[in-house]
Amino acid sequence: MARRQANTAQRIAGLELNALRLAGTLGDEFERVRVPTTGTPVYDINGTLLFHRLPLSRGKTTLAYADIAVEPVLGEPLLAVSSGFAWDEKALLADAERAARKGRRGLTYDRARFVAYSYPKVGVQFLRDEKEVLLLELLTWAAVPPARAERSLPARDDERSVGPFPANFERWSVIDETPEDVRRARTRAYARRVAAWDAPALGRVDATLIARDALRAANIVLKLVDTRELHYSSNLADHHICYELRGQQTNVWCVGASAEMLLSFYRYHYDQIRLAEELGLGTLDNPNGLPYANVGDVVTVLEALTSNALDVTMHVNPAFDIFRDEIRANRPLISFVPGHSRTVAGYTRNVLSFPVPFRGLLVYDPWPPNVGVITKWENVATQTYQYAYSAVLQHV
Amino acid sequence: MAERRGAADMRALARQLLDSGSYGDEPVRRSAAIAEPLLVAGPRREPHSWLVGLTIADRLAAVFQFLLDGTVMRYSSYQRKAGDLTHGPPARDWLDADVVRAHATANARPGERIEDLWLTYDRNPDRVVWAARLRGGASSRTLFVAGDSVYEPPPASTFG
Repeated sequence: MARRQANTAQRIAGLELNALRLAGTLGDEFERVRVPTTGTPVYDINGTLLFHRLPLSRGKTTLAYADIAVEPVLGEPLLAVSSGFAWDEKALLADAERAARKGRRGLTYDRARFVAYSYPKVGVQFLRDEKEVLLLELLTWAAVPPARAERSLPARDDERSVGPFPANFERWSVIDETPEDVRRARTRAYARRVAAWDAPALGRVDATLIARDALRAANIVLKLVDTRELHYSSNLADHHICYELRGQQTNVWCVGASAEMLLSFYRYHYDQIRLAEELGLGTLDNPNGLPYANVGDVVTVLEALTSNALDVTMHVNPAFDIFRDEIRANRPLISFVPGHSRTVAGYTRNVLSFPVPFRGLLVYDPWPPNVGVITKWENVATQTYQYAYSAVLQHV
Repeated sequence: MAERRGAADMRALARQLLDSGSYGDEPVRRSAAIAEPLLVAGPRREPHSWLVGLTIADRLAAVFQFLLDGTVMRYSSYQRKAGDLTHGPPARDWLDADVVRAHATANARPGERIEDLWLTYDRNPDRVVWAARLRGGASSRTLFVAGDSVYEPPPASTFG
């Protein structure tokens, strides 16, 4: 069983690392580097195998190591590629044993193993009769204190909280303490990723070696970026990009210009003067912005001006997925950020979220006045999204 | 000194991103000159980001905006189509403080003079503007200058 898992780890590691090499995420120093058959098993504090740590070597030189998850709760197979430290399992165990005997004369144990005592922190655990007698932190060789009777976990009322946050140097189990909903989501994500690497065409790839052309040589076309822009129809091959920029006609008519762009996509032609009238934005000579309290007016006005042919929804604090899903359905959105309104006509994201994920929006921005810009891309991580408006065309 | 070093880094970053092919279209990558990066200040005049203009001839073709650590905030193009500079504003309207000062002066009231001029943003960081502090006698006010558009700061609690 362990052998099969190790071989699987090598195969998944090889495919993941070759994808990163193809994308240029792994540099030339990784070219022709070997992925070993076996690595160091690293266990959860509860004894479950979490991941394999595979040293990556060229010849006799170890350049880096890759952590490949076995436990689905970790969310994806490839956990990390770390360089700057040559992973040598035997030497580390020998150091750990020396440190253990120095700290505790008379210590007896049956075996030692690597444990992620506070994932991703790793230590060496000494066992006697399968019971821990000592746990030392890797390299510092400090004894990790026993588990506290009660752990203070954060309340889950904060949606951003995705897991427990232990105190410094506190042991905890990533398996036992991951909330059930997070565990389910991560397990699904892990399964999807592993299934993708099981594709028959990938059977031709030599996963024991990292090489820039390994995937190409097997005629594998790897989609590294998921990107889409609005088109005339959902058939991307047949039609060109179908969206037009409008500059705002006054310094405070970004909402009017955004509404104009969205309506134009559906072939409703209203100029900004008319839209300003409907939205209460004043006149060209005496314009005003849309008060924060009136954000709901956008829904009312867009529906009224299309005789309810458009069913408009306002999303509060929209996540990236809202934008992505609407663009995939070939529908533009209006996006409100603090003090400003623009429209969104595309998105991009790295399929490989390692090491630096990037998610961007294609923004048709009516600012500056009378000009506007097409922003490709706006880094989602640097912007605050207050509201988004999606519009669905109603069929008769 | 630190600021100048930062500006050089941002300029190099802009070049690197263009060369990578990830940003900009072919005419911009081939022809655009990278202007001197300008520091964008936040509402309390604290450094917020860098604006790096990309110019073709006398037109502003596009801009990068980077956070201070080099994170890309956005790449924004004034071109409706690749190579079309029709909508690109005069580069000096955005990148030359003397030209911006002239725009602000043209909108000053009698007796007002420009006391201070800095690059900042209007409510949201993607609405980059020049701010001109004008003083006339005992009173002072601020004007925002965005290309050839000059206006007083709108109320904070509005979208516009």
